[in-house]
Amino acid sequence: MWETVIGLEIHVQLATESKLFSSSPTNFGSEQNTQASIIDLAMPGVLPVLNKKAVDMAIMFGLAVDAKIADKSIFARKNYFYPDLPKGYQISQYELPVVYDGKLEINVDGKKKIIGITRAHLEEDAGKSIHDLFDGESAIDLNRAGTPLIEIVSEPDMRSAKEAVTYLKKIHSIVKSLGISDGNMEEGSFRCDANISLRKPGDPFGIRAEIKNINSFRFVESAINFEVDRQQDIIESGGTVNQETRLYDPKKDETRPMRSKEEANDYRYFPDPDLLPVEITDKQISNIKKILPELPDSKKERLISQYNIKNDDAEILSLSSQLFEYFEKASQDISSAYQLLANFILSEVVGLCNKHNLDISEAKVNAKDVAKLNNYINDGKISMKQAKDVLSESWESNKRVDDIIKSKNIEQISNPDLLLNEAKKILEKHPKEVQDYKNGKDKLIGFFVGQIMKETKGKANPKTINQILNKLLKG
Amino acid sequence: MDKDTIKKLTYLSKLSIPDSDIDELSKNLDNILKLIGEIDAAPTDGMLPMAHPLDFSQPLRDDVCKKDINREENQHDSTKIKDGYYTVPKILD
Amino acid sequence: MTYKSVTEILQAIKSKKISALEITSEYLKRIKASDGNLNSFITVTEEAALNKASDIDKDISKNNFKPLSGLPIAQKDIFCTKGVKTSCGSKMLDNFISPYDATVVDKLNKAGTIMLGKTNMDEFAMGSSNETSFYGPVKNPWDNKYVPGGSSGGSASAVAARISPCSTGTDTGGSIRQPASLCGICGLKPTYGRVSRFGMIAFASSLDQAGLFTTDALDAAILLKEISGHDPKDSTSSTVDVPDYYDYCINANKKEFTVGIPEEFVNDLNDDVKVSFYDSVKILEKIGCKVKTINLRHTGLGVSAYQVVAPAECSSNLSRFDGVRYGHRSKKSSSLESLYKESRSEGFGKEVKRRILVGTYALSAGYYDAYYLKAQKVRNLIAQDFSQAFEKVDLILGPTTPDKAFKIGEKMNDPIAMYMSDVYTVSTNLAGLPAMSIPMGFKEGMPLGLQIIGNHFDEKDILRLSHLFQKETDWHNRKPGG
Repeated sequence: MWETVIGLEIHVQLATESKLFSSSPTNFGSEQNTQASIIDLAMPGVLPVLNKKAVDMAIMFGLAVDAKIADKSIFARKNYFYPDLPKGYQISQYELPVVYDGKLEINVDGKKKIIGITRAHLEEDAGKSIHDLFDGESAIDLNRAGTPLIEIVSEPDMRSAKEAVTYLKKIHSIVKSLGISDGNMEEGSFRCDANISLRKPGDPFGIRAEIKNINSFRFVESAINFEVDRQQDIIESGGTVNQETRLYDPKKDETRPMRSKEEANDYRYFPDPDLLPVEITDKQISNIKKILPELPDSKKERLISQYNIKNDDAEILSLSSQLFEYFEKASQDISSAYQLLANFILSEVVGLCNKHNLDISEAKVNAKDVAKLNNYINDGKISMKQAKDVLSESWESNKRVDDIIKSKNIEQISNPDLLLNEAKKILEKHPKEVQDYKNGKDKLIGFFVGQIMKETKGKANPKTINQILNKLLKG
Repeated sequence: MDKDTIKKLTYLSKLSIPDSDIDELSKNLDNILKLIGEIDAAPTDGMLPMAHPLDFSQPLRDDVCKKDINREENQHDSTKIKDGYYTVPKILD
Repeated sequence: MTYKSVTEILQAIKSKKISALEITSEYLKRIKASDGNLNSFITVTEEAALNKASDIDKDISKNNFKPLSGLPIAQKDIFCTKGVKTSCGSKMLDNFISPYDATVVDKLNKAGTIMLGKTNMDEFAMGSSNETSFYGPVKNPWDNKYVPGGSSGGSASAVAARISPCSTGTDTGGSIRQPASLCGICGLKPTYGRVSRFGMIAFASSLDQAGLFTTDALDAAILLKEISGHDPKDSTSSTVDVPDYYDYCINANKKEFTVGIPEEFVNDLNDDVKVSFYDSVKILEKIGCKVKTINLRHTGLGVSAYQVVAPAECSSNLSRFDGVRYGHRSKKSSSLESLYKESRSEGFGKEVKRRILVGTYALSAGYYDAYYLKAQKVRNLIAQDFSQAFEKVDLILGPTTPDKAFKIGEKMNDPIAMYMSDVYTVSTNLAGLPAMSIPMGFKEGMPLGLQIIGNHFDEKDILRLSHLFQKETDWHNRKPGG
C-alpha cells in the first residue's frame, strides 16, 4: 500500500594528495591538527586556491555517469556555525555545479532500472569533533577540514532498500575503478545520507526524513528498513512525519533525531568572492576522456564476450577493480579455460581472503601462481583437491607454487602406461569385486579408484584412471 | 525591522544584543534599510550580477603537498588547546 | 633631519649620507613624541625595527642594496605580521599574534623596508573616521579635534604628522583616499587584483584592495611597484604586468590627458571645495589637459549598493571569529552556543555588529534577490557608466570628499551621515578601478583632496598626472604645524 521513496546523497572523499583549497596533506590517521594549515584553520587573511586534480576527478565522475559537465561552474559559501567548520562557512557549490544531469543503470533481481543523478558537486569536508575524549568538553581535530569531496545527489528514484544499496554499491565501484577515491567506508571516505519518505502510489511525495552519515552498506539497508517501518507507524496512526535530520544507531538498529543539528537553518548561499568561476573547456574534457579507466559495466561486457564468463560471475568480478585486475592478470597465462579460472578465484582465492580478513589486493598468492595452478589442473598434472592444498600452503608459507609441488612430489601421475599397470594390479588383487561389478554393482568403480589412489599416494589422475578402468572392466 | 527579525538575525550570526540596545539598533537598521532600499528602483532589467570586478577564470593549483604546517605556532594561544585538540563545551549529538 | 619624501630618504641611504639605524631611530623618536596624542599606532615594534635596521646597514656596508633598503614604513594593523600582534582595531583580535606575514608585508620586508609598527584603524575596516577602534580614536594632526578619516586613519595620520615617511592602508569604500584627503597627503588605491589580498584581513572580499599613503606621487610610484604583482596564494590577483611606475612618471612624455569631470561629482559642492577643485582643474589645463564634462548616471546608487555588498560579504568573512581557535574567547562559555554568542558580542563593537546583521539580512532566504543580487546588478550598471566614460576620457576627476574633516564624535550617532562621506569613493571600489587622492588646498585650515580615477590597471597615468600637478603646486609639501 505504501510506496517507499528514497534519494541518496553520497559524500566521496577524493584521493588527491593535497586538500581542495590548500596544499595540506590529506592522509588519514595523522596526529590531531598536524595537517591543518593556516588556511585550513581559517586564520585571519587567508585565501583559498583550487586544486586542479579535484576538478579533473569530478569531470571523470561526470563522464562515468553520462552527465553534463558545466563549462562554467561557481563555488558558493554555505554559512553556518559549528566548531568543525573553521571559517563559519563551507565552500561548496549551489547554482552551477560542476556535474549535473547524469544517470546510472542498476540491476536488481534481474530487472534493469535507471537512477537519475541530479548533480555532483565539489565541496570541502569539515573537521572532526570527538565528544568522549575529555570530561565536559568536545575535542576538535581539523586535519580533515578542507579535504576535497564530491557530493553525489540522486533523484528520488529508488523504491526499496535493495535498490538503494545496489545503487550505492555501483557508485562505490565506479569511484574506485576511476581511482578518484579509495572508497574506504570505515575511514569515512565514502559516506551516505538517505532521504526517505512514504506515499501512496500516484500521490505527491511525502514528508521526508534525512538519515545522515551512514558508513556501511549493511547499515544503509537496516536504516532504510527501520525508517520505513517508523514512518509507516506514524502515518497509519494518524500522525505526520517530522521533516528532520536523524542518525542511525547500529547498536540499537534504530534511527533517532540529531540533537545538535540546527533546524530551520538559513544557509545564505552566495557565490564565494574569493574564488572565480571555474571554466572547463571541451578540450579538457576530451583529454580526460582519453585517460578514463575502464568502468564496471564495460568490464562486465568484456568478461562475458571475451572470456565467456557467466553473467553472475562477471557481475561480481567487474564490481571490484582489484578483483578484476587479479583475474585479468591471471588470465594472461590461461589459453581458454577462463570460467574455471573465475570459479577458482571466486571460491578459493576470495575464500582465503575472507577467511583472513584481507582485501584481494593483499592476497598472499599472486595471480600468476594462481594461473599456474589452473593450468596444471587443466593439463591433468594435479587434481583440484591438490591445487586447493597447494594454494593454502603457499598462502601460509609464502613459498611459490612450483616449489611446493616439487618438494611434495605431488605431481599427478597421468602416464597412461603407468596407470594401466596400477589398474591391472588392483583388479588382479580384488577378483571378487571385479565379478560383482560385472554382475551390475556399478558403484564399485569408486572402490577401485580409491584403491589405486591409495597405491599411488593420491597422485593418480582420477580422470585417466576412470577411463582405463572402464576399458579394462568392459573387456 | 521588527524584533522577531532581529532575533532571527542574531541567532544566525551568533550575536547577543542586550534588550536595552534593541530599540536603538532597530532604529539604526531601519534607516540603513531605507538607504539600501534605494537600489530597488535601479534600472537593472537584463543586467547580470557582477560578482567580480575583473573578468577572468579561477586559476588552478597543482596537486602537490606543502610541508609548511607548524602546529605549535598555529596553536600558540594555548588557552584553547588540550593535547593538540581545540576544545569547546561538550556538544550533545 | 628633514627628508621630504621616500625618494629623498632612499637617496640619502644609497649615498650613505645616513644609515638605516639613524633614520629608523629618528622616526621612532618622533613617534614617541607625538603619538601619545595622535594615537596613530596600536603597536610600535621598536626592538625589531632597530634590529632590522642594523642588519640592513650590514648589507649596505657590503654594497648590497635592495629597492627600498632602509626605508621605515608603518603597516595598517589589518595586515598579518608574523610574530607581531595583529588586532584589526578590534578587541576580538587583541590577543592575536599572527603566525604568518601577509604577502604585502613580506614583499616590503624583502625589499628592505623597516617596519616601525602597526597603525590604528576603524574596527575590521568598518568606518570612515577611525572612531570605532577598540584602541580609541585617532586624531587628525592638523587639528586634534577632528577625525583623520577612516578606516586607515592611523596610517594617514602618521604620514601627515611626518612620524612615518610612508604607510600601507586598505580601501574598500574609500578607506585610503578619504583619510588621505582629510589629512592632506597622497593615498593610492590600486586596481582590484593589482596587489595581493593574502594576509589582509578580509572585510568585503570583492571590494578590498591594499594601497599606500605617501607625501607625494613619486613615492607612491616607487612603492606601488614593490607591492604589486600576481600572487598564486590569492585567486583574485591579476597576472597583468607591473610597469616601472616611477620611470613612467619621470620619463613618459604624456601630459595632454583628457580628463572627465562627472556632473554628479560636482553638483552639490560647498563653495570652498568648489573653489579649490576648479583651481586645481585650471592647473591641470595649464599642464596641457583637456577637460570634458561627463556623466556617471548611476553613481547616486553607489552608497546604497555598497552598503549591501560590503556588509553581506563581511557578515560571512567575520564568521571565523568565533573564539574557538584564536582571538577573544568569553569566560561566559558554558555551552557552545554561549561560547559563540558571548565571545562575538564581547569581541565586536557596535558598528561591526550592525554590519553583520545588515549583511545577514541581505543574504537571508527571501531577501537575497532583492538585496544582494540586486546590488550586484547595480554594480554592473555603475561599472558600465565608467567604461563608457573611459571611451571618451583618460582619467576622471572630482573632489575626494564632500567636505573637510568633521569633528570627533560629530557623526558617531548617525551611521547614515557617516556612510555618505564615502559618496565619491565607493563607486570606484564597486567597479574595481584604481584611484588616488592628492592634496588640492585647504578649507578653514583643514586639507582638501582631489581624486583622480583611472581605468583598470592605469595606475601609471594617475601617478604621472599627479606628479605633474605636484610639480606645479605646493599643497603636498605643507605639513601640520607649519
